[in-house]
Amino acid sequence: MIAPGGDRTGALDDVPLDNELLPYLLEWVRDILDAGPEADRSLIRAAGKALFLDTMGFRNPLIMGGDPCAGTLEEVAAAYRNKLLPRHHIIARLARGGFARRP
Amino acid sequence: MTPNFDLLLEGAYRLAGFRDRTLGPENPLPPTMFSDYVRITSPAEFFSEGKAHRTAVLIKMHGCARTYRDVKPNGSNEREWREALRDYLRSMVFTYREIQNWREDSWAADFLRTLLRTRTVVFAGYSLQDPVVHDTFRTVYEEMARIRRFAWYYPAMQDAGWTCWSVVVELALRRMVAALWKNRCSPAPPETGRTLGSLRASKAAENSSGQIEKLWAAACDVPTVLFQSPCQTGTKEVAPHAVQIQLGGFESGAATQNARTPSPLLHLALAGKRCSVASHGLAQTAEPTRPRNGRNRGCLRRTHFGPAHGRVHSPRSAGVFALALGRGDRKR
Repeated sequence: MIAPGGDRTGALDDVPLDNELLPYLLEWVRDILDAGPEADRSLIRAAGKALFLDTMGFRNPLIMGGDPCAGTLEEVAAAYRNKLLPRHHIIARLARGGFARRP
Repeated sequence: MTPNFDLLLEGAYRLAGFRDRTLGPENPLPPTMFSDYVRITSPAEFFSEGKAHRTAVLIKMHGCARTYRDVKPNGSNEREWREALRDYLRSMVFTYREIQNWREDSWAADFLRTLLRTRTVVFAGYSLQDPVVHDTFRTVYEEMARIRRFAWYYPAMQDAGWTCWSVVVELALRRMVAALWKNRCSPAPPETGRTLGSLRASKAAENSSGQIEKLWAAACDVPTVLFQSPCQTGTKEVAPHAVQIQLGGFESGAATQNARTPSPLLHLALAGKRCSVASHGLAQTAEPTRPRNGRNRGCLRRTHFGPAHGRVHSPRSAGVFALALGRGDRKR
């Protein structure tokens, strides 16, 4: 068995598995298994979905964009590196002109 | 409005000078009419934050990684965290079944339908190949076509193996160009990656046919942007699906002073090599709508495509044209 965030995952992915939340999710799954048929089905679905999203890297800024809430613009630019395309800047500029108001 | 979970648009908003109204620090840039932005990722946020004053709204209709990231266990009450995560995950459209159900019970689907019915829609970087969203567009535009007696949805292009929606609304386009012109002194995106200036220069340099240069020349006196670069050059294959946007005041450009010169608009619109209608050489024409009940509705103009006339009927029109092309079902 490969340990979460272990060496072998690093060989497969540039971004190692983020296991910040994994212990909580596994604990959650364990509770669901202990509860058996009495377990809340909405919680079962949520646990499975969260486990999947975390494995996909939804919590990881390296995968899901950078950090738009960084303190300075330099830090924001550094967080995104080369991920932003011209289209993103163009849409932002249009929004700056007032084209992103809610109707 | 974006279906993406990622935070790229938020980053571009920050770099354009916006301040995150809920989370961000003070904005170091001078205040402007729209200085803040807010991210809407759930129905609750839609009603609590969506009407903020002088705030740009970014609606993430399938959810947001940032909001998901912010739901963290606090250590003391694990049950509360689990229920909070469950409640937010209902707003994240991810699995196949959720995508199938999205059009039925989603606040974002209703909002998208409202946008399609009431606004000019510009698709940016979106292939329209998502069958559920595709179906939403199709349903709304067919409904509008029945009511308005002219087609917003072009079955001819679909017959050719392509699906095309194009909506040109003169007044909205002019307002867009005017706003860009007015705000051209606003802070430009910093030099991270390819900025508009470098994009413009590189496109002009790499195109040997001179077509792109003509486009830039036609729109040189207003802020000009060109999405992607799939203008057809010789036998070069163009992108199978693309969104192309040209902003510019073509009426002041030398190219449109000559009535026999096709508008740069058409070069953009018809750049898709695989789009069979492009080979027929279509022309865009625009004419004002008729007054109804003694009042000129005015803001909408009928736009249709027909055989090439060799000229554009309204050389003073133009500004922005958005064309979204995607592979039609028959090609797949």
